[in-house]
Amino acid sequence: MPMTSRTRLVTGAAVAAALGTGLFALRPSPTDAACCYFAAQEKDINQPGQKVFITWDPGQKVESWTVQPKFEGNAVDFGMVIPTPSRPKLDEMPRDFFKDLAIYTILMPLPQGIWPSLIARPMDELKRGGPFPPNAAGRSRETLGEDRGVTVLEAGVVGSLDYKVILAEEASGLYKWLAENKYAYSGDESALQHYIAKKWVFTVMKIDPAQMKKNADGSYLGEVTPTRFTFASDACVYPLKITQISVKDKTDALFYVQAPEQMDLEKDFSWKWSYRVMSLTFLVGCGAGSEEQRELQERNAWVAAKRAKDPGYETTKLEWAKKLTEAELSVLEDPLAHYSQMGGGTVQPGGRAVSLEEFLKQVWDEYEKQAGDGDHTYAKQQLKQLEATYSPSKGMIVRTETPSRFIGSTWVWYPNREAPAEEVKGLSRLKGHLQKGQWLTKFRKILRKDEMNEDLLLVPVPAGKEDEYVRIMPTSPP
Amino acid sequence: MRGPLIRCGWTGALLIAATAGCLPADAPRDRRGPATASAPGVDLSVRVREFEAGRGPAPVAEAVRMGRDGHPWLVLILTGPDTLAAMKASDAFVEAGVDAVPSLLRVLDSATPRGRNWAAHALGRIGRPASAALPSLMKAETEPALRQVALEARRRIEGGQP
Repeated sequence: MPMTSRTRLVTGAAVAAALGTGLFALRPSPTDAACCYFAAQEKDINQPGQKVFITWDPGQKVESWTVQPKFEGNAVDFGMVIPTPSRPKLDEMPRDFFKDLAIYTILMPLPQGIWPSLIARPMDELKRGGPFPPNAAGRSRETLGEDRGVTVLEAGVVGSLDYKVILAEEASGLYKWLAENKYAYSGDESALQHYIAKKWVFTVMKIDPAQMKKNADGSYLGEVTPTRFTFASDACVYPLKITQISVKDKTDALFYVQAPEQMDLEKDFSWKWSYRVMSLTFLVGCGAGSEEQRELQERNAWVAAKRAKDPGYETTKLEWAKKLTEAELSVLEDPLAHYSQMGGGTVQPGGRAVSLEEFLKQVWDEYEKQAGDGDHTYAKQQLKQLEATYSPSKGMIVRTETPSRFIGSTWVWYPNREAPAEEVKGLSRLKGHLQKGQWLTKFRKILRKDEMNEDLLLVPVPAGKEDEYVRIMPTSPP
Repeated sequence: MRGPLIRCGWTGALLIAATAGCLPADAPRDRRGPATASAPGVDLSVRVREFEAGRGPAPVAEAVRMGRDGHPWLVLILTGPDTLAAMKASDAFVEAGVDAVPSLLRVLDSATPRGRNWAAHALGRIGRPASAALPSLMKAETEPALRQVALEARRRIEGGQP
């Protein structure tokens, strides 16, 4: 049964909240090798998927990744290796950071037209050793591993994670160093070499199992505190190659990207292939122009041809996108007041929110002009129905001067999005992390192992070609 | 069974009206002593009861003719279950202008389950002369059910646009 947009929304939100960062996870099985990983000697750790919050400052050439590894297994000691293009600065992020992002980016229902005419009678989103100083908790530069070609630039604690930032000259030396330092690693050296060749820096982390929930069988289940890695980079990149070895067949990767421009993946991985088809299909139902129809045909043809050549191809799915304005950030200031309509910033141009009372009065006044004397019982019943249907607790009424081509009415109903109040309240934790004037773009890609030979490059969407996506569409992406 | 229940509802609304300091001299309360059938307030009280029972139209025009003395009756209608009647009472208060502000404020600041929205709406339409209502409206903006109407009212008052 195909998923509806609404189903995808709910599923997406639930999965986003539950996903772990398999990015750096390792399951030490004979078939799995790793270069960034959770390692667990003689233990089994699951890798449910990966999620990351990326920020990119193209002016300063500074990027950050916030990741939250999630694992399940019998390990008593975990480790992970994270390659970055330059020496990173590590920060602890709020524990519920990804849960909050998931709640924040729940799509809103589509607006609906209101045709409120009453009638009287019924009718039927540092280069190596570079500009970032060691963390305060960190000790700078150790040489413990230099005989292995491994230099420890920094060691310290972030949250409850012990970390070391290291340089490696060759994969074999790093491989041995990891083993000697009890970062159990069962993968090959090729992925490590991939990053050494690019002169990237590795951050090695150990997790204290004491902070994890223990299952009845003694295994551990849980997520570690989200950690942010901030580093200098010439481009906005994501280390996909290092995850390849820890993936059996495919992995579900969720990206939140905050940047001055809307961000996308390159070429075949672009979310445009699915989003544009979905939105254009919706537009066709609402009178799309010839240009839009032509784009839809071209994109559908491209996806069909791609799948003919590669039957396993899955498009990247855009899940939420918006340039953050004061309206969207007002949600973080007063979540309970502004969550349901994202601060009201997504009202169509020329639209003005009006109260239910103003709406009812205008509707009745219009009716009275035409009805004249007589029995108004039925019209009064209709008025009562309007009052119940368009209650302020359920949504927002908007008045427009000219009907939009999607709606066709000057009165538009914007239904509220809903989430448990306790979850909504927590959104204030995102204050300072989401920035005004930045695009927040959320997308998901099911990555096959054979699609992970290279790292991901994130690129800006050309100016004028951005797509906002904040409301559920009644159409499905290819 | 319906009579006593209805009476309880109106008693509550009458208390709001009385507290608002605008109960008419001949309002139907025992402590005021017997009233005469010909007194306008008495007639209006009967008309309100008839309206409440679905046996007559909302006596908004009659209450308006009584001037400020009619405001308690408008409050009764404004806080009643009939949406259209409440809307008409709200219109009447808007016509009364600044004189209606104390009664409307009393309703807005009350805990009555109905009518506070229409009071806020009327205050907004009165515009700048209702500036005394701004603190109450700002407080009402924190209530989800009143937020939009209170926000709209405050903008109208601050913008001076009825």
